[in-house]
Amino acid sequence: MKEYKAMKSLMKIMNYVMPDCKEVAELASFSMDETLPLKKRAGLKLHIMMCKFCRRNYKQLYLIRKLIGQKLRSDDVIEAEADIHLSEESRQRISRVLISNDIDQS
Amino acid sequence: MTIDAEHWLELYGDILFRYSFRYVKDKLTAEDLVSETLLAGLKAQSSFAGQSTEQTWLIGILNNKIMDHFRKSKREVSFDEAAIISDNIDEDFTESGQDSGSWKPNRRPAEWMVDTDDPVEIKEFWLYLNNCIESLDIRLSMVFVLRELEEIDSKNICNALSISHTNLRVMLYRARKQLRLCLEKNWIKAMPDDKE
Ligand SMILES: [Zn+2]
Repeated sequence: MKEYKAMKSLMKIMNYVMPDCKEVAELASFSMDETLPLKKRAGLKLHIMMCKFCRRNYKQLYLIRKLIGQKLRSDDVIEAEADIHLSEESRQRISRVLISNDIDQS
Repeated sequence: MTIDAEHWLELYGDILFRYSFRYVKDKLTAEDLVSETLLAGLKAQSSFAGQSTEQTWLIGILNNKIMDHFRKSKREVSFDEAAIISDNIDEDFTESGQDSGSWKPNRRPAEWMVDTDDPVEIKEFWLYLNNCIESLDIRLSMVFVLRELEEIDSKNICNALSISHTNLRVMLYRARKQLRLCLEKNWIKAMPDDKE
């Protein structure tokens, strides 16, 4: 019984310190763009250790980033994107626009 | 004067064109927007305060050109981030009661079994990702593309799009959340090993 009580109050403290799932989901995203303050980082880590769904969410967000990075730096994206580069003709056309505008202004 | 623009064209032509093409989906229109962006850049050169890099400054101009293009052509869009931010219901989490703030049962992230070394899976990922990006609100898609595909940091995105840091992080949060769910519903579900 004593242990149970101790457990209960421990849970209460934990709940107080730990962010809920909603906040953890936000922190997970924020952590991808900035360094979180120590307390937030600790709350995030602790919650993720104990909550399966937030752990999945966190890992999946980072997996998406990792896969994008992998793809951006792979050969086949460079091939595919070669098609979405400015062609030599396009560059010349744009150049002409810029030059004629410069003449107009002077 | 032209020297700068020629220089910009050489340095940033491709990224501006790629970004523009993603939205307008037509090479000539995308090219026109790049021209217009560089011209506007030349005229506004004095307003470039050096708060952002030249590249993100030009992306900011291009972004406005893309918005103008949509406004003129068909859709009524504005980069009014306030409209996005004010809509602050988060439908993934329980609103009240004992479980307040935890995942609603039907919103819980599923388990993903992904083999990151399998080139086929990665190829599929890329296709689904691009479709999912397209399904986003255009403003959310823009911040996501700049951050994750062009790998520009938050500060520079805020400068380029003239939005506050607080709003940017909310927008990125929403974009990622919707993309995660979209990928789960489409890419993960479509995987051959995924029974039930
Ligand atoms: Zn949780």
